[in-house]
Amino acid sequence: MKCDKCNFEGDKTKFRYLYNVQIDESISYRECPNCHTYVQCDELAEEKGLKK
Amino acid sequence: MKLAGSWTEQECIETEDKFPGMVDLIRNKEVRKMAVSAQDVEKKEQWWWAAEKNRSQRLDYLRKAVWKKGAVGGSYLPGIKIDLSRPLLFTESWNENPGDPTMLRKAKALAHVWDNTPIFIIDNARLVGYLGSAPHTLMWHQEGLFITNEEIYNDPTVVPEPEEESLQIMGDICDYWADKTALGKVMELASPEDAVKFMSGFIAWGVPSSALTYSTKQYDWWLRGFNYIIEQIDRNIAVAEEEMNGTPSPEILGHYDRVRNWQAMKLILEAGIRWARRYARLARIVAEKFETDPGRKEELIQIAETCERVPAEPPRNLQESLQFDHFIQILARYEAGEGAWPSRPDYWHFPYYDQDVNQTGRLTKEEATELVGEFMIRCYEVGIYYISFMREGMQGITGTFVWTIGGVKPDGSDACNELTEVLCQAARLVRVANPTLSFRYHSKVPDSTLREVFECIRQGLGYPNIRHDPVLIANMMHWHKHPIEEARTWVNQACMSPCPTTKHGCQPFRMASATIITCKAMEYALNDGFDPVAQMQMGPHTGDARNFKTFDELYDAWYIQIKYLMNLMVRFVNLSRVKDPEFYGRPFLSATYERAVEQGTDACNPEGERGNCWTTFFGWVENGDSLAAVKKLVFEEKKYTMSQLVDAMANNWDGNEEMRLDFVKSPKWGNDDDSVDAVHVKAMRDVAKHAMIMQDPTGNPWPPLPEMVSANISYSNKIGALPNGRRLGDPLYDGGVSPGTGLDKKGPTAVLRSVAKLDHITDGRAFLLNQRLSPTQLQGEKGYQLWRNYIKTWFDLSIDHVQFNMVDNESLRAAQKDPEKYSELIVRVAGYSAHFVDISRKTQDHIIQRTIQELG
Repeated sequence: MKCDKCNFEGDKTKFRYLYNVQIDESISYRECPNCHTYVQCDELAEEKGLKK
Repeated sequence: MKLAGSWTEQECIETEDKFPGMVDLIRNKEVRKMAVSAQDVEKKEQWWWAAEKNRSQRLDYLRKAVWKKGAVGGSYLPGIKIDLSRPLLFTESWNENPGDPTMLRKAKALAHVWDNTPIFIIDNARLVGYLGSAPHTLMWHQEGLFITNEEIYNDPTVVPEPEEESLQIMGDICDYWADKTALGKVMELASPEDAVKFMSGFIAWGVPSSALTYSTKQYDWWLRGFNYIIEQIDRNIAVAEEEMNGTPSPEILGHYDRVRNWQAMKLILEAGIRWARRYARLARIVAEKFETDPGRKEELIQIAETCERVPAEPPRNLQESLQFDHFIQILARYEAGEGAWPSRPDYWHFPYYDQDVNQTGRLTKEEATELVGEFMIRCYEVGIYYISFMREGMQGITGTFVWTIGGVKPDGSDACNELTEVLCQAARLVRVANPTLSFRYHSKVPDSTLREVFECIRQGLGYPNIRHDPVLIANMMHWHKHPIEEARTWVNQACMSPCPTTKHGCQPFRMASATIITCKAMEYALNDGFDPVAQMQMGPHTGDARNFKTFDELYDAWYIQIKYLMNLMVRFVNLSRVKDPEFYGRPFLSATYERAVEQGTDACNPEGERGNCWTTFFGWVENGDSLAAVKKLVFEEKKYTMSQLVDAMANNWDGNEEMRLDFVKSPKWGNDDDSVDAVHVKAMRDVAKHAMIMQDPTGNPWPPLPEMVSANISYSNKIGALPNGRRLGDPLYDGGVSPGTGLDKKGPTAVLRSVAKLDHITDGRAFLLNQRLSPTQLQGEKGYQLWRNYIKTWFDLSIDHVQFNMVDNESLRAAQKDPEKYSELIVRVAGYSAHFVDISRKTQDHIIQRTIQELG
């Protein structure tokens, strides 16, 4: 995952889960550990990426 | 009142010294106000700017003079401070009367406060009476909750100047009351298990004490004037004392306590009269010695005459009746942490409005509207220090102050009147987040009144909410056996529950503590009673959910858990209720209750009361949605096993996003789908069955009431993953019987059809329903007719409640980016409204997520 604001890049687990944008979609907000901004995360895409 | 544009240089310098930047800010606003017309901003639906242009200079000044006391982001705004006057004076007197019984000791302490606390009158105000010794202060009831005392002492933001001296005082007060608070005494009596679980913060919300309470006000009693009540008390004392000096019998033994209770009530009423007359004297002093403007001088003399009259004697005109009402609310708040404002202003004040406006011409309609607007602002400025979980659960406001309007009279005829409409008009001018209005709807409501109600909603106030009057009257008769004439007098006790305002119907002790975070029952059913977030055994053991072979096994486990939570809450609150007269004491409230004066008891003594309790159910719909999803995906389609589900929950759905989406997309409440709605209805009915056998101290039941305030956000990090698809951290649904946020996909009629499957008389106390409507769709006459037809459908389906947000996402997102420009934008959160910029980002995002329903 990458933060759009400060360009911090790292594993999804480094970005603290905040809450879902919409419960029936796989997009959530996670917190950048570097600048603490909200970063959108596609949970499904990230999971599929990991499983590959 | 001078515009800033015409201030002298000296006035500008003095203002700038105190408030840097203020002079330019005010001038810029005045220029903007003059440059753009009200019609321009109304066309753009910028209702907050329109209100500023349409209201009088007086209302504009008073509105802007309010120190906002709702917490923002869980904290009070800069400049808001604790008032030390009450704790100091109260403690001083309390210390001097150690031998007195609680009621009398409390009465003396409050009298000492009212006789000595500093008072003030806001410029341009015509109604007076403030909670606290300065406009920016919060009330602190130090004798109530030790947890509040600890928090206040450790909250650096509210320590008044000079800080060091204030901290010393606060420390001394906390030390003195450490072992004396009402809550502390209740905790000592309760079972340790009940106390620990209740206070854990994971299953309950609120505290069981009059220190944080809601009490109905018996208008027809106290409007007779305090002197009338004192006469009744004197008479009661005389009769009792005569009997006490007569032939001994068991009957006279109770008189010894009664006489002292009556003495306390008399003492406090006399102190209340004195306090009001201090305002009269202050108004006269300012008028005679300081005020140069002849118009304002006259107003101050009128204030003096008003305060010399009420509350001692019955009111004679609208200013006196509104003033009396306000005095009652303020005095009750000096006594206890009243978190609600049960009121029916159009019903009780209409005779005075009608006389002044329509008969004597003492006031024009505009003047009366302005006075009513000020009456609302006086309510808005009230603030009590709330402990953090209360602040987080009620973001942006200082309590759920819901004024009830409309409805019927005791004889069943329509009670809507001109003042009902004026209240709506005033609400649109002052645009306060508190009080909000609750409209009692019935089939004979005049069209003109309904249009005023609609206009408030259309202009984005988020209120009035709409209540089904016949259903709620029948509800009160069903659960608490109120006679129909008494049930018809009902007001919102807090944000939702109806309560009569009669001698035996008034509810003196209802606080948020019988509030259960009900979706914990789902968590515990899946974890054998263990709370995975709190990491403690909270509920009973109901077995390893991995081994459940049928849906019935899961459901039974859930039912055991929910009953356990209901029992625990109610046990605790019942104990607190019966001990409240001894541990807290309400001499003032008692004096304003005919039942208490007649009996010579504290109002919180349940004797003679018909009861009106309810258990608030936070996080309710998650239960039905979760149960239904498991039923379908595990037990019917067998797509997943219980082991897989339990493991996925334990990992917060991590690594199981596809599975989570399956559970989310399983049929949900609010779509008129019988497969899921049947589970919801069964759960509600089974809970109602248990509620009917749980008894309060009067022997009456505790019906459930699903709603939420903003606890869907503050509890989001305390509830773990659930089979409805949520993760730990996700907001809970926005409450009541509202569908999950964004999960109502089949339109507004489908929502109503789902909700109508519940019986709103017998399945619970009341059921909150949030709906969001499109502001563009509901413009003009066509918009009104669409909404009116919707309300007719809602009414015909016998649904007890609905409330609306009518604001578009563009405005909300713009407000997130530029909060200063949208500081007056109001949204309906749950059982209350708040200014959008005062609520957290998470709450804002959650409101944005709510489905916008298109009508027609």
